[in-house]
Amino acid sequence: MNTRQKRLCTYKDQLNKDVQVVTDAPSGPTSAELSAVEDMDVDEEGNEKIRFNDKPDVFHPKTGKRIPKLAVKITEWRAVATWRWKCAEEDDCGICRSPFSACCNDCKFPGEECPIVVGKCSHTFHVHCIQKWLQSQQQQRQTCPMCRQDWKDVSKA
Amino acid sequence: MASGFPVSSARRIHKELVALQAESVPGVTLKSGPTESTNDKFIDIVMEIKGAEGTVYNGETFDLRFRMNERYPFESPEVVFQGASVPLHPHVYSNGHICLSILGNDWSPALTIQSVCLSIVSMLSSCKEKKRPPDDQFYVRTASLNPKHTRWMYHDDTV
Ligand SMILES: [Zn+2]
Ligand SMILES: [Zn+2]
Ligand SMILES: [Zn+2]
Repeated sequence: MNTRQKRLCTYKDQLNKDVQVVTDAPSGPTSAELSAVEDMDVDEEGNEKIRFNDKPDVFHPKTGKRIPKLAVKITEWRAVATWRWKCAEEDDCGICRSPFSACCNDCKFPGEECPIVVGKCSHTFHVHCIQKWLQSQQQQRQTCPMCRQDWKDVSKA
Repeated sequence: MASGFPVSSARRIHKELVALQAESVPGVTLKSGPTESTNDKFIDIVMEIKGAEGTVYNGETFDLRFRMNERYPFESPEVVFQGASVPLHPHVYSNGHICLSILGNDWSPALTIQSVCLSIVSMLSSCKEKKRPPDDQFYVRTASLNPKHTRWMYHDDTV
């Protein structure tokens, strides 16, 4: 068993999802930035497994579906920084980075000309943005940019 | 910023630069740019990243050159270490090319200049022993200038 002191910390990964990581970096985040260590899973070899933090699931305001967290597998990670995104992030299109109250970077006016679509995974984009991405994906699998699940438009009810 | 460069790509880059300044992350800073190529084909940005404390790169700084073409963000940026200090790392070739899946097959338009920098800082931070990839000499002799022309076999991401 490894007796080095390991610490658990929470950060947002590059796709803005909460991830908890174990670190043995001597100068990691301060204790105030670390979340409770009881969330740590330890297997037989003494390797900690990363788990998503146990914050309540996020549900989509319109469809009521749970917004899936990004599935990542991290076997080891040294914390290099903690940071937070703007809270308004959820109201921005993850592709063009414009708020949904505005149109995509190709359009002039928000609204009917530049509609917003919702995927089965509950992630939301301007239709022009997600279409450009789906067209550019050379593999047959068409995936959501945020969670990489198969993309299926469920907004045409 | 752009005349011939597509407006929508330029706007997204502009928004990222504004966000970079508004929500800076320790160890990741904009060094120069945006610089538009004379033929309007791409925009270059140089980011400086710092080796994290408690890692084998503690105190070292490295320059990462991002080159976004007119397909950005639907196509990944070309990202290379430039200048004299290319980190000694098993996934970094001595010509500055980086073997990292998010820069190729695993690219997503939800990724940003900042999140790519953080991924590279993390990649460096998990390194225990400074060394070049085993095929460095062969690769550097045969590779194109653009790492995106390489068909990468991604190494184990955990180093
Ligand atoms: Zn958009
Ligand atoms: Zn639009
Ligand atoms: Zn999704």
